[in-house]
Amino acid sequence: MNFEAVFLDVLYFAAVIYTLAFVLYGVRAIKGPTTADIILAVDCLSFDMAAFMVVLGIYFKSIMLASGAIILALWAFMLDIYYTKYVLYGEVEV
Amino acid sequence: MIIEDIIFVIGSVAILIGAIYDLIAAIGLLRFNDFYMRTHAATVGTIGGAVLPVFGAGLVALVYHPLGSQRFFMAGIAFTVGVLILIIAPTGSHSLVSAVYFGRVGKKPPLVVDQLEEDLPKREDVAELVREHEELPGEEEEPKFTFRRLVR
Repeated sequence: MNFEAVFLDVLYFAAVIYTLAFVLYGVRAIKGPTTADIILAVDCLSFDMAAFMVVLGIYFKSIMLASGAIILALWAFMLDIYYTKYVLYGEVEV
Repeated sequence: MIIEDIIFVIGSVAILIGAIYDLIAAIGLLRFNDFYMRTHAATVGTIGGAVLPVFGAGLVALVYHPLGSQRFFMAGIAFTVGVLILIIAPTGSHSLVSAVYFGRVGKKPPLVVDQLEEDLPKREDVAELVREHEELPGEEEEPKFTFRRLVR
C-alpha cells in the first residue's frame, strides 16, 4: 500500500470536515450570550486545532508543527482555570 | 508488511471518525440552547474529536516511512498530546461548569430538580458575612470563599 497517497486522501477528507467544524465553533465563539460560552467554544477550538496540527505535522513532515500542539492544549486549560478563579474568587493570582 | 498496513488503516479510520465527531460536536454547540447542554456537546468534541484523531495520528506516524527516523519522535508527541488532552479537557469542563453554577453567570435554565441549590449560600448571608468582615479594623485576612457576583 502506498502510504503517502492514501494519507493524502484521508487528510483531504478530514481537512474539509475540520474546517467546517472550526467555522461552526467560531460562530458560537462570536455570538455566545455569556462569557462562559465563548470560553467553552474557544476551548473546543484549541483542542481540535491541536489535534489537527498533529495530523498536519505528519503530512508536512515537520516535527516543529506538532510540538506546538502541547502548548496549545495547555493554553486552553489555563483559560478555563483562570476564568473559574476570576468568577468565583474575584481575582487571579498565582 | 501486513502489520504496518493494519496499523495504518486503524490510524486512518480513527482520524476520519474523529473528524466526524468534531462536526457533530460543532453542530451541537451551535444549536443547543443552554449552557449545560452545550457543555455536553463540547465534551463530545474534545474527547471524540481531539483525543481519538491524535491517537490515530500517532499510530499513522509509527508506520509512515516518508518521515524517516523522525517518525518515532512524531508518534511520541502525538501520544503525549493525546494523554494530556484526555486529562485536561474533563478537568477544564468541570471547572467551567462549576464557575457558571456557583457564580450564577447568565440565566439559569429551567430544571426539573436541582438538589445543589440548597447548598448554595443565600444572597443575604453572603452580603452579611462580607459586611461583618469589612467592619473589622486592621484585619488583613480575606474571607475564604467569596462570591464576587453576589457581593454587590
